[in-house]
Amino acid sequence: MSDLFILRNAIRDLLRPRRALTAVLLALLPGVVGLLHHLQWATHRHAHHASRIFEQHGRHAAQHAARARDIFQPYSADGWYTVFSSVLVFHFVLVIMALVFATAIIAQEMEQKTISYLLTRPVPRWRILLTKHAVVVYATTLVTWISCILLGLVTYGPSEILRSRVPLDIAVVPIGALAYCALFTCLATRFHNALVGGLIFVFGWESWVSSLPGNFQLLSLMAYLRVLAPHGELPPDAPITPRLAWIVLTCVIVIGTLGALFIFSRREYVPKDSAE
Amino acid sequence: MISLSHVSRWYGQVIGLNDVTCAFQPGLTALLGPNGAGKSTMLKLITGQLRPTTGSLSVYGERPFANPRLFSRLGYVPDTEGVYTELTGREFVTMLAAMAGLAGSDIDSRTAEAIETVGMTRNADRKIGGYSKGMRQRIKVAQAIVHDPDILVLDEPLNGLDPVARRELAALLQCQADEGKTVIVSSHILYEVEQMTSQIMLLHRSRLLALGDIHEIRALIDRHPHRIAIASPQARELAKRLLDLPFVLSVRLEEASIVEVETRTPDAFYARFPEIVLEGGFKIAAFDSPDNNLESVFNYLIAG
Repeated sequence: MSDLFILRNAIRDLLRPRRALTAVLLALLPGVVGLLHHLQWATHRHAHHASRIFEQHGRHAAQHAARARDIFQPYSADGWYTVFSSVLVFHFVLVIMALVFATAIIAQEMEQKTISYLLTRPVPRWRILLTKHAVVVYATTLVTWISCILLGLVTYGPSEILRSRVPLDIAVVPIGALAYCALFTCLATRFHNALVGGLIFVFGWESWVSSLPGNFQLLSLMAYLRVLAPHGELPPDAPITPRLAWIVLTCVIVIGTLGALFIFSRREYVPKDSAE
Repeated sequence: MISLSHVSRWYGQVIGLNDVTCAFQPGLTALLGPNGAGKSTMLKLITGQLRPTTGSLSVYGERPFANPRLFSRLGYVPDTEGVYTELTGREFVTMLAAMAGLAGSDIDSRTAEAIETVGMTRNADRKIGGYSKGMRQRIKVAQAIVHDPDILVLDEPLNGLDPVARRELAALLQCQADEGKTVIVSSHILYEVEQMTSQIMLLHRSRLLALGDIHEIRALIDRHPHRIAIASPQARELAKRLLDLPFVLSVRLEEASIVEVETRTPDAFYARFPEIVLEGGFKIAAFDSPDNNLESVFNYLIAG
């Protein structure tokens, strides 16, 4: 019974107006960007190409050029989807959702000074945290799925989406959500400003580590995720194999989650003003 | 039941509680002290939110920190105003009743009962965000008593309450104490605490200054003779008569009709005074001991 109320409490936290709005915007972002790009590319390319042909060769040539546009596409739907999915869905929506939601599990209770109610109830601390963490993982997965599907619909259209890369991405998203949420929840149990640290990790480390020479990408969580849902051809001598990716991601999930539960069970959480 | 043995608690370089040894028994105990004395620290140690840096603390023989087994027997009202403002009062108490381990079938009835006890039935279905400070305080008390705990710990529960509400809460707490529960209340409002209980614990600068019955503590403060103020239209004559008593240290005329007596043995004075009044035929308009109260005791102890 108590788990049910902790669950409801966690869901209610996620549905706070600002957080819910953030989630909705993030879910829509890749699809909107994809749509805008699709419209802009189609309009711009057609107008530019047709006008040049018309200038050079007259009206009939311009009409032939317009028909040729439909056959010749330098960028396929796969190409567009790969770019947008990698940059917007995995590198942005997934990690930002995990970061914002996971770091708020404890920060929210501390900020509104309600944590003492939770910690003086006969419910083991690890259960409180695990229930809230599960809700965060679910919410992160759901929002990322929605953004993935919307992008897929815009790029491939409803008839082709099931034969595209979208189903593979959808299968991998929960792994990414579990891994990043485990990491950020663990950080949140230990550090007061976990959100700041998480932002530095996401927009700093994860962004440029793969550009470093050598095998620094082995220290990037996203690098392992990309192996499971490749957005482009993987080089044959890539240091990360799918097997290694599964092992590392599983370790991050297990160690991060257990670490968070351990720390939360043992650390003191007293809102600052009330400590005398 | 609750015992502390040489408990100290540090926050970095700042000491929150310094070598405190004491025990709480069933009944109502008031924990008193100025801001920064260590009251909230002590209550947080007892309620398992903090660990002692040194020393040992036990509640029912167990260490309370992160100990869910104990929390079903504990009710806590924090001093902070933090509550779930988007919930109604009823939802708030219901949630915490469920987390306290109440059976599903009992939750609604016990919630209603707790809300009724604190006088919040009319406003229970409004969001807490719209509550006044006093209403929030009441709903906080409701969540603490909903599961009928054996130990009730309240940190500054009288803050924000109007005098009527304070009396009602004091009566509720006395009732809980009369049922054999251990009730610990911290407060700054000394005169209200005096009405609630005579069992006090005084903290000052993280140290335990005094523990026990207020009157016994007062009697032990030899450095400060007891002052007794007597209003009489025959103040001068009464003053002359009282000066003759061997256990009266000094007599002063405060105003034309008030005599202030100092004595180290108030009991002897109280025993002899009625005889003197009858012998002299004095009219007594008022009789008071201005420093036989908590605030005076507190001030004397702090002053050293």
